[in-house]
Amino acid sequence: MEFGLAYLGIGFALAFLGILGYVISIARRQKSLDTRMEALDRAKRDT
Amino acid sequence: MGMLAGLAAIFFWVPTDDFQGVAQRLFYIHVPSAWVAYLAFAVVLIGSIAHLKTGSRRWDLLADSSAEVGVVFTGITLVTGMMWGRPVWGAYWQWEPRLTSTFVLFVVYLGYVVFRRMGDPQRTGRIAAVIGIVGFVNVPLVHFSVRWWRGLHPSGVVNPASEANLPWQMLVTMLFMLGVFTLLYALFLTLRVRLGRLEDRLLLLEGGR
Repeated sequence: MEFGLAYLGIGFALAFLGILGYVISIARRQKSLDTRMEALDRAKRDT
Repeated sequence: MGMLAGLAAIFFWVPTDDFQGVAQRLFYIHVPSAWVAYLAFAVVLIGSIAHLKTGSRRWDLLADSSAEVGVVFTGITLVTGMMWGRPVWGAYWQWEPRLTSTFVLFVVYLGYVVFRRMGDPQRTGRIAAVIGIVGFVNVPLVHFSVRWWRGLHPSGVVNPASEANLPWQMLVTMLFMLGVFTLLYALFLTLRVRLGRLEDRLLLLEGGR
């Protein structure tokens, strides 16, 4: 029983790490695009 | 909230399986992940066909985004399956039909996602659409592999014609988690499409500088 419990815990942990990792990846890409957009807006204002 | 309610049901409400013990509770995320992967790749198929027909970037972006989300959920299906298989089969992995075909599915769409990152969307779109359409052939192969070639993996346990049906608490929890994972897929797809649109706009603006 305890043997199965360890695999259950690891399985759930890995699944949620996968979901969380994807959320973080989307957030980071969004932030990077926002930064590029701001830089572009700044450059446009300066010219 | 849905996910928390689902987790509460998985850990505190559903009965423990007599034969497989607590590890069987992985079923409630393993099956919904597999369902979302099928759904995501079906959307890739639709988006790819529509893109080849119309040439519209919107369909291409839908297919690209859905493939990425599908790969994430196929990965979760494989990992949870391995963690379930170890205590029940005595091995993390067996090269049996369902596992092998799912692994091939994962590799095909991972290849699709990597290919999309290799060039600008306008150039890779049409070839990617062909990969998206041909790759979908693998989905029915994965699904029916347990019937066509008998392996270790059990066949569908949610089958009205089957005598070995699930107890109702297990069935309700599984259907609930299917709903939660489908909503999660819709959310991820929306966010990813929005990201793609922003990236397209930036490429256009930066190109026009």
